[in-house]
Amino acid sequence: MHIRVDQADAIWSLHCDRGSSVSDLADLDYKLQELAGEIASSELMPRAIFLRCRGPEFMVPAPTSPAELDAGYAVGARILETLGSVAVPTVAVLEGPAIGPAWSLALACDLRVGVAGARVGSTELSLGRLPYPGTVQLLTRIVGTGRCMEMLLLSKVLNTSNALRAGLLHRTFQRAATDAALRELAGALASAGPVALSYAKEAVWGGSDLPLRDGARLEASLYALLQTTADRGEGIRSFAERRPPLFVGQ
Amino acid sequence: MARATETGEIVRYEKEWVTQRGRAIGWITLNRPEVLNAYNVQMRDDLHEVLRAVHDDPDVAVVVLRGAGRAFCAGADLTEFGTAPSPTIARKLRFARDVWHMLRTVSCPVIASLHGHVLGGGMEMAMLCDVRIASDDTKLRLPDVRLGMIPVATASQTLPRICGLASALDLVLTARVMSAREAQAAGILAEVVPRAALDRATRRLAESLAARSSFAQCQLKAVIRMTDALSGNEARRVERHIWELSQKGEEEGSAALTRIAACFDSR
Repeated sequence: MHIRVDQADAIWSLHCDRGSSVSDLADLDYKLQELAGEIASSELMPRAIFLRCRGPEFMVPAPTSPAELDAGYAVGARILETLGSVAVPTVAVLEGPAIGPAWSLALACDLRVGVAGARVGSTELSLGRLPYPGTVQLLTRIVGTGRCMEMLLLSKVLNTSNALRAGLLHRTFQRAATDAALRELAGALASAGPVALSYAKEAVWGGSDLPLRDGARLEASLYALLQTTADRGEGIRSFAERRPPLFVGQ
Repeated sequence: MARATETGEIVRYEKEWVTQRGRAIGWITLNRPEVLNAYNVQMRDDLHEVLRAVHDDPDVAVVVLRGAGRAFCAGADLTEFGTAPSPTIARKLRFARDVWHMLRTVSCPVIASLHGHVLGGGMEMAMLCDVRIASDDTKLRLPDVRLGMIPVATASQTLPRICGLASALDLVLTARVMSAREAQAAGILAEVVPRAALDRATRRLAESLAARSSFAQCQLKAVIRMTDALSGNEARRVERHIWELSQKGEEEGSAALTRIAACFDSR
């Protein structure tokens, strides 16, 4: 699998070809681990990482046999964990269908956007298998138990309109407008403080496994930490001076 | 009740008797209309005082939180930012006078009646209420990350529980504006009405809740709050236990519920 990471701007983009084998997924996991490590060990961090795939499908084709799913099971579980460990927001850009394992990868991202016409869903049960480990937990937290049951038990595949309505996709756009739509989303994320974005992600995901009161304590602690950053001071100053902030990620 | 300033009370509280059976609606109004009800330290202290009074008043069957003037609340008053002696003291004060926990744990139903800007801390306050009704001109937004901050009045915790992780991440990470209709579709707002009809619709909703069994509503709120993050088996046990309080009669049951809730809230 050919993977290229564009790290030029505040938004990093991971571009790849559609994978076709377990080793392609392993390559993708390795690259994501490398990026997660780089972000964790550096004071300079991107605002977000966009995951893009040239297609025709997102990342991996829809599975056709139980054996195919079994072969990717271990690396699939690992890649979902890796995506969860990336300290900055991740965005799955669906420029084609995301069925089965590909949809699991998209669910492990923080935001999902897609071109009109892309279809999404987990169809593994129709092949007598569960989706990659972690998928059920992600889906229940995203859409609730009722809709999760319906989607998984019936191996439902949704079009982009229905996925948008269900809250599974955040934005949809026409294929010709892909670049403009991504620029707009990138602009919104790039105007935020990088440390704040990272902590906001940590507060939301970290709190999802805690009682609300403990989650509130996590949020307050991260907020207190942010008060010690240069970015927070710059944010307040820029607001008072009615100008865009110049965040440095420190 | 709340401290008065030259412009009037910053948090106005009125208790209105609505039924023959000695039931009242508590109307809490954020009252700094000249700054779109921006939330400051005095508003926090006054809200704390008002909520404590509501908490201790068995006549109040339902509470409505609303904003005076053109907006519900435009969020924190940024002129006060940076005035805390240090981040550690600010964090300590956050929990020493935990108005957010108090708002969430009011025993009777709390309605947020929203209009205009519902930004930052204003949106977070609304998320701590039980039911949200809004006018069609309402705009909701959590702009914190654009200022190098994150929410601090528990929106990162309440939003995922209200509308799911996906919508919560979208609102928190992109800081985008959400319209009233969109928020209704996401499950954040229960009802959206034209601006001119908001007061009437809020009153109708408050009166309908006040007319119902207060004890049953308190039981429901207690079950939902106490079972947050318990395992399925533990949650079922708590729910059954709370349900069985109905058999004790309303007076004895209410007293028992208050004792149990206090144990959970002090954890």
